[in-house]
Amino acid sequence: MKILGGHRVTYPASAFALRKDARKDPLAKTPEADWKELDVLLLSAAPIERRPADSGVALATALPADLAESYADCLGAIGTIYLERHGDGVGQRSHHSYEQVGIKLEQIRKLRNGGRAKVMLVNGAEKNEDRIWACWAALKAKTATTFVTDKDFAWSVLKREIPELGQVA
Amino acid sequence: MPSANAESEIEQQLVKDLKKIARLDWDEPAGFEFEWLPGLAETLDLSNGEDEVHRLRSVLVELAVEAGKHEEEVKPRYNRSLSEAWIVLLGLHKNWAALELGERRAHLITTWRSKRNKPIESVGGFKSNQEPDIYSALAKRLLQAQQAKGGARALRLSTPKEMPPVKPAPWPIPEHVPGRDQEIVILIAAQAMRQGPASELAKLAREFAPYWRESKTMVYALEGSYKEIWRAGLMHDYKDFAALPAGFDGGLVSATEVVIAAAETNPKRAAHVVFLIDPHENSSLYPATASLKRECLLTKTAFLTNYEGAARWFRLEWARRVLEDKEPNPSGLLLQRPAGGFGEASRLAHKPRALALAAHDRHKRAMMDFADAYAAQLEAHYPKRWATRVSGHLLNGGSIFDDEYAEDILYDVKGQKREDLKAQIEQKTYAWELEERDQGPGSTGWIEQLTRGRQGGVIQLARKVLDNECDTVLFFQDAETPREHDMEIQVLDRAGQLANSRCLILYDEHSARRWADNVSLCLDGDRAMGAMTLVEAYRRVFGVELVLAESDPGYPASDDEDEEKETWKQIVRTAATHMVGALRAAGDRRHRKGEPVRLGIPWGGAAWDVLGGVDEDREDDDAGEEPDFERVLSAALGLQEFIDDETKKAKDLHDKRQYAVSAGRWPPSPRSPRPFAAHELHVVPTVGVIGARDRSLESHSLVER
Repeated sequence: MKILGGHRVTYPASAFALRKDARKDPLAKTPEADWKELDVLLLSAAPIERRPADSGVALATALPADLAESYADCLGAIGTIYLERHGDGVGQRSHHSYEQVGIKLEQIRKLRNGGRAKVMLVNGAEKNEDRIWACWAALKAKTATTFVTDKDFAWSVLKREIPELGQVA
Repeated sequence: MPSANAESEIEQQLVKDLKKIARLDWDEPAGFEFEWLPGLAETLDLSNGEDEVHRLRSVLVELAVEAGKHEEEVKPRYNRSLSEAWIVLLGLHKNWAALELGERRAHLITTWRSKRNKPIESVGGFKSNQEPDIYSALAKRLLQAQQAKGGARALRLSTPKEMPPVKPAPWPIPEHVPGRDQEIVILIAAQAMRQGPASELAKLAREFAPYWRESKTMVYALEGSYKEIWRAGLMHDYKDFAALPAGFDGGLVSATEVVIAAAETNPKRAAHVVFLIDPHENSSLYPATASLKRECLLTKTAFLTNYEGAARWFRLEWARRVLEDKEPNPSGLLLQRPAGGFGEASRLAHKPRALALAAHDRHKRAMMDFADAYAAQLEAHYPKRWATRVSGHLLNGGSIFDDEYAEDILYDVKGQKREDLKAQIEQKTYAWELEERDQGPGSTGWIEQLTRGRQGGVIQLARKVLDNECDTVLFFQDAETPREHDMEIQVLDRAGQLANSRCLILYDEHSARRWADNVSLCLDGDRAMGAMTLVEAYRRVFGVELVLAESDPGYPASDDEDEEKETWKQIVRTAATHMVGALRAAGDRRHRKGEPVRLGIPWGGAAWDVLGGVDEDREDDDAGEEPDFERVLSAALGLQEFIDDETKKAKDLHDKRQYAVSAGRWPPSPRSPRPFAAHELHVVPTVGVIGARDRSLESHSLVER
């Protein structure tokens, strides 16, 4: 925060602990209250990538093999929110053995629909089909108020929704 | 003024002419040759043509109606009603026009009596005794009516004098004088409409800056608006983007001067004023605001007062330019409508709209002509139509002489002007009547009538705008006549200015015709073009504001040959600028309450790049690429500081930037690297991890990490 200034909020390890009982510690500060009050939230959509979990790359999408297998048909992810088709829309896939710790899709939607916060989805500069679908899914899941991208990527994503669309020649 | 003898000669000639036209058929205007009707031609200044025949008939009808009113008060003796005789003999009403002259005479013989109150016994007697009196009385009325009009004219007594040419109004900003044919856009936004990158002003500038660049439009903005557009990262390098003084420094007067100068230097030049008014702010009530609107009306300049209306206006302007110029949509930001149109499910399909038409008295005839000219498309796109009572009455073919409306119509206009306007309106109504319209303007029920404008009709329209029931109002306003219900018109204006208003309000005939021409060109029939931008498509389809990265020639050229990487740099620069603007806008609100702004950041390279330079201790394999992004956030903050620098006037920003670019000092670096104090900004991780529900699985390597 040397340039932007401000205060970097930290939480006790239990806030992001995977053990449910640790997170239930009544003395532990949890981020939910801050998430509810966010004014600006940055997001980026990523395709599902099956990487070795010990690759050393801290990607949210680097999953254990069994989990990756079960999420292989997801459209993409924002953070650890895995997106799949829900009827005409897109929703979050849950797993019987694993759970997500972090801001939830519903919490992001509440921010978006509350009218006050700006949820910025930043993606683009790619021709990768999986990335385009991931971004389409993030938009379809009604996560963002603002989508920052380049023109070509914007066209590609829109055409996933309206394939017959064309530019004026 | 003709002499008494000359007048008598004209009257005699008129009698002869009237006798002749009694034998002609009004439904066959070609039969009227005015060289054979010299008395009428001279008195009414008629020349051959169908419209002129209609005008003659309308004048005669008007005289008959006026005479009829007089006869209601002072009953004629022995049933000798002149008004009836004129209508019957000359076939002025369609029922009589259908009969032969002999049959019409036969009717009068049965109703009229002689001056001695005796029955008229023969057609011959009627023709030689009564009929000349009937024509003579009408001829006298005609001459009197024309003299009443002519008598008001002033006679020139002085000799014409050669005068030096008057210079056109000076441009208020001499450094930014547009070319003669260059279009002009003036952007003004109240404070609430311009704060932050998601403001109405920023949205408008973001969507249409590419169009203004393509069309080489001169864009002026008042200082506050100018700076906010810069803050949103837009139009820095566009040389025809110029600042006018701030509102408190006479900016509205300068904007009005630009409107006047634009019209004086080239009356055909297209100028557009966007004033995003906040009805809750005092500036909406300033005399300068009313004056700007008034000058726009007088100079036929589009005056747009809300975001949605302005956006709809410019989308059509953009689409028309592409179609007319056959330019290949250079920016690639306009959508092509698929054959058969957009499907309903795409949310891009054209939706039926609701229209309100109204006109002040001086413009009622113009409104009727407008409705006539664009009837087909108004009906196609606006299945629901409303008008205030009197305007609706006229648009539905009602007569200006109907008793219920006689007092209301042209209430605001007095004297001879009123008579002239009545005649113009009656001509139109009569023309519609002759066509026996059963659809379109002039037919019963074409438009739904509300209450009279000055008795609550305008308020009813305001209600429909507030409820988003009506999305287009065409109100041909008269800028020259004060009215008792001006306050109610302001209520309508203010309803349309609310931030959530989706209504396009146009105030003058010229703007309405320009808009209707654009609609016709872009939306009708099988035209391929839809007036839809990529930005608007994203709003409709995904409900998201699209912010497109633009290359900025001010940034140092990269030797990076990877096109994707270069584009990504532009994206993160744009995102950083947007994020900083959003934090500042949120800060204005939060800090008033003593609360911090909260920024949520996730994992991932994108957030890392947008916040480039945040963490100098980053250690990973990509460390070598850091220089590409480390100044992104710094540049975004530097831009804000550059704009906020109080030593710089807005009008100097462009020049200062040019200087910085040429000196290699762009993007600017912030001198104060910590714009947010610890209590002002909280940066909150929103990071997600995946964990096993079953503890036994927590030994997995990912979980460990």
